[in-house]
Amino acid sequence: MKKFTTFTIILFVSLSLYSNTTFDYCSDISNVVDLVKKKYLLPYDSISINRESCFNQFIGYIDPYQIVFDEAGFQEMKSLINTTGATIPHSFCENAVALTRLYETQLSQLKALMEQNMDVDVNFSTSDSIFIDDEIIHAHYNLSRENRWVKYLKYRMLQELMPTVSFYDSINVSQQSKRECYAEIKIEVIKNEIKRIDRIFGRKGGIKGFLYLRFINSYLMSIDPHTMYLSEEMVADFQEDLATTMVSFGIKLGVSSDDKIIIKKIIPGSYAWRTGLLNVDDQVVGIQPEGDKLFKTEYAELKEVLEYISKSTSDGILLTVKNKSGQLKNVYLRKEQLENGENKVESFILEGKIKTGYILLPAFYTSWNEDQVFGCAQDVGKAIYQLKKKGIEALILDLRNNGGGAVKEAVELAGIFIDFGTLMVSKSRDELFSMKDFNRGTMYNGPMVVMINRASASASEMVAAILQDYNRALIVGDTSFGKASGQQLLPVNPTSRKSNYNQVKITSARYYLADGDTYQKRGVVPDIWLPQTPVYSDYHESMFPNALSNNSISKKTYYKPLTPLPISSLKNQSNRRVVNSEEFQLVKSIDSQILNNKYLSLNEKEYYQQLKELEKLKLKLEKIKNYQTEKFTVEELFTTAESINFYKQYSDLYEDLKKNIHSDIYIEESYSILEDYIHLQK
Amino acid sequence: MKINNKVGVCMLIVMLVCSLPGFTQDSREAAKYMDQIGVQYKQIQKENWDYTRAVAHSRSARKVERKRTELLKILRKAKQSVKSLSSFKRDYSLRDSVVAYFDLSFTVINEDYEKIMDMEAVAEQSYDLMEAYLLAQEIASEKLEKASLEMEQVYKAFAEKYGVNLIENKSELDKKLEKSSEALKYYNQVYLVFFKAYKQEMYLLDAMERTDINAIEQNRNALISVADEGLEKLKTISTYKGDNSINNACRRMLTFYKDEAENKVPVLADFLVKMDEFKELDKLFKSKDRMQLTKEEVDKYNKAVDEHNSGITKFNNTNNSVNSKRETNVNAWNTAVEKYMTRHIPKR
Repeated sequence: MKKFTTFTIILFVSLSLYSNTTFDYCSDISNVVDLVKKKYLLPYDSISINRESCFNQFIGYIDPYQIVFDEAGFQEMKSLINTTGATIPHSFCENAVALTRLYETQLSQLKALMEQNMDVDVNFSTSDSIFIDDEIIHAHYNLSRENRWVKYLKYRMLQELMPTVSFYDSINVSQQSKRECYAEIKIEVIKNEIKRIDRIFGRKGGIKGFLYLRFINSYLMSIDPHTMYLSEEMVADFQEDLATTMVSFGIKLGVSSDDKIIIKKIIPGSYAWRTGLLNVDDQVVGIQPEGDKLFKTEYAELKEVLEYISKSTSDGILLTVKNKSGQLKNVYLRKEQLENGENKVESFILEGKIKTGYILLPAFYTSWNEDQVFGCAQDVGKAIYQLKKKGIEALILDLRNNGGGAVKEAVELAGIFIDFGTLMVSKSRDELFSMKDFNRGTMYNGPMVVMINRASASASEMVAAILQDYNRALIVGDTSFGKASGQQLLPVNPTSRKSNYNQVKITSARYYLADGDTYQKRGVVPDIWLPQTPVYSDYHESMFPNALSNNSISKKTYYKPLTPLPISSLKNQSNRRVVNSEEFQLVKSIDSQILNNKYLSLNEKEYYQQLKELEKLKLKLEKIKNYQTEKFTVEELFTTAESINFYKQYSDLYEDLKKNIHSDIYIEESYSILEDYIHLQK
Repeated sequence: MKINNKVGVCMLIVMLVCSLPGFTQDSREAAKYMDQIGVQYKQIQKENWDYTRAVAHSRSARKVERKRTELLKILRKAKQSVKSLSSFKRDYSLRDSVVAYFDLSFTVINEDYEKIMDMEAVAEQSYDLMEAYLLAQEIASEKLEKASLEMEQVYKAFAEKYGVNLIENKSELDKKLEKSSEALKYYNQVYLVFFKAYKQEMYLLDAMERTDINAIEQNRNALISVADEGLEKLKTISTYKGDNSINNACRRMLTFYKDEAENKVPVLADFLVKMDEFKELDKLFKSKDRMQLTKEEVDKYNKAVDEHNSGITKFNNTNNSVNSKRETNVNAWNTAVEKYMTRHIPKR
């Protein structure tokens, strides 16, 4: 009989508050350690826990702006975590009371400092700067807390004063109005910061719970970058509540480890999904229902945000999000029923010299329904079925910005383009297992490009790697993220009588190609590289110091790649086009220093100049977005239901999507590569 | 629908020959020594014949299994007897060669394949247990045939060394076994061609049952390839002693599979995809306020309902016709196999 095998499903996860007052931290720590010993990919003896990185991670979580601790407090915290007799993570259990008291005292002191210095003199004319990396401010604790606080205040005020150059210019008309505006903003920033501290005090689980969750995660992060602890509230609050309140816009919100409101999930098939503009983990910084005022979410609780949205009667909402590289985007979303989530994959026909199918897949979703295990691979299959009926000669599968998802779907999807054989080998602690193509035969045999970039991670990289390994598709774009590992979600204490458990998402498998190599840490290197804006230049698996290494395995597999593709010839032709393309040259000219600048000046004039330069760059990027290809037109692939015009409300959205495809220089280049390839075949 | 599955037989091709006493003392002793082995061989041949007949003619799996167990018992006993023989004038070559051959025969008939081949490699190339089993058996048969030839050479070399004249004096049983073995070998060749396509169709039907469009399309294309390959292979397999019946039946079966995959399944798959779309449309239509529907929308919906209904009729007709053709062809295959076995493998 047909052999089915189970794969590890990769889930979306995040940190959350901890709330049980009778909670036994010591036994929970022991359970977590036991789980790591039993289930983590590598044997426990071989793991070296770096105390320093664990502590730094912990401080980053509990004091991201480096303003909470004074120098003595910082040193005391360090000694409580690091230099006691007990090993990490048991040191928390031993010192929980002292840690909690210390943090409470330091927070109270900071709050008092803020309250007593509402009229603090903030000078923007001196030379001063701040270093920010990945939303964490790096200052030295040997600088006095007062000085650090003023630095931080200046930074926040400048952000408020100069969200854009034009806004600043508009308030900068007279000295009087400027002074008033500065004073107003200062009070607003300080009040919000006080609110943030009060929120930490007011948490259900108290300070101890707050610290514990961050500590246990620092411990797990110091073992493996994708291993994580999840409290039961996270599962309950962020999945159930949000499903009912937010589902109509197609996103689920949650809270990140550093208390930011983020997108936890994009419902496949929803309006949000179909815009293709949002990604999981994007930070939500503003929400503006149609005809209502902007609600800044930076200091808000998740509940407040949800209440604000549910109160609004408007069907439209403007969401302002910040992606991982700090870029801001405004995305318009519409409220709609999600019953018609059949077409979760967007497919179009690019009609030009060659009729090409274009499929956009933003994430690897799967169905949890026991009767039917259909997920995105099945939807891509249906799209290809329809595209083949329309007589396509080539296919583009766009996996850019696809952060991954269910591994099973990735294997099924790659399999529809490959006849037979081992696609990947998964390696757990004890065994090697061949992940074979589910079905013999192929669904589509024609020329094919898979588009990837730095933000193509996990399952999307897997598909690209397999199709490259089998010489089945040309991989075009940028080197992918480099995560070739799988995680399992396991209850910390399975004997608990509660229906919800605290859980650990634990790295339990690594993935290798059929020949034994892996793209772990290295990423999938495209066959044809195209110039990229430096948005994601620092974003890669290797940014984690403890990322799994890139090694290889030896296993018997049945693996017969197809004839190699004429890559060097296609690459030469593509390079010639890129050199002559004004847009690609513009992309190349974008200075990564300016875009990814981590040293921000706190001098008003300098900050203004930095912002001006950044805006100039953004203008350049806008110019690229306005490009119009002459190579093809974009046609929808309507289903019967869509063609019958019930989707009238979607017509604007489809127009936008079509416009995006039509102006995307990377899609155009992929199309040209396929043109060359078909020409070569003849 | 049950198909004849007689591929479970393993051929024990032991080319032992009878010996005549030679002229010298040495050769007489050598012939006697060889006879001791011959006795064991005869017992094995008898059990092997029973087992072969059961495989070819019996409809009872239990009976075939019983015969296999009996054959295994005899093989074990024979191996022990030969092993307990002393050397012939310090020459162990014949004894050891026969023991090794009996050992391999035992392993093959006992299906301890992992002892003689890399089962991991076999599993890697197979999609299910039956396929792995057939592949393993193919490899095992080849190994056994090679070992049989090697042992025959040792036997002949031994006879020559000690001046024993060998005369091929085949018993009736030997002849029957040899004949059956050839007939089964031929059958197995055709059966493997048949089985690959049969199994591939099973996957396709399973995919249709699950309305899994990816699996349908992939298995449909795979069935076309398997049927094409099979039809080519059948051209290279000549008749068996003028009997082309199972080859013809297999060709008809493969032609049916090819036609099913190329022409009939697309009709069925189209309907399955359209049915999904129709369900979506229907849900949308029914969720709308009747008063707000335009005439154009109602007309389009009604047209879609008509198309859906005629699609159902077309689906059912195609499905019934495919099922009926399949049944006819499978029955013809089963009948052809039964007749072939009766013709070429004696019942007694």
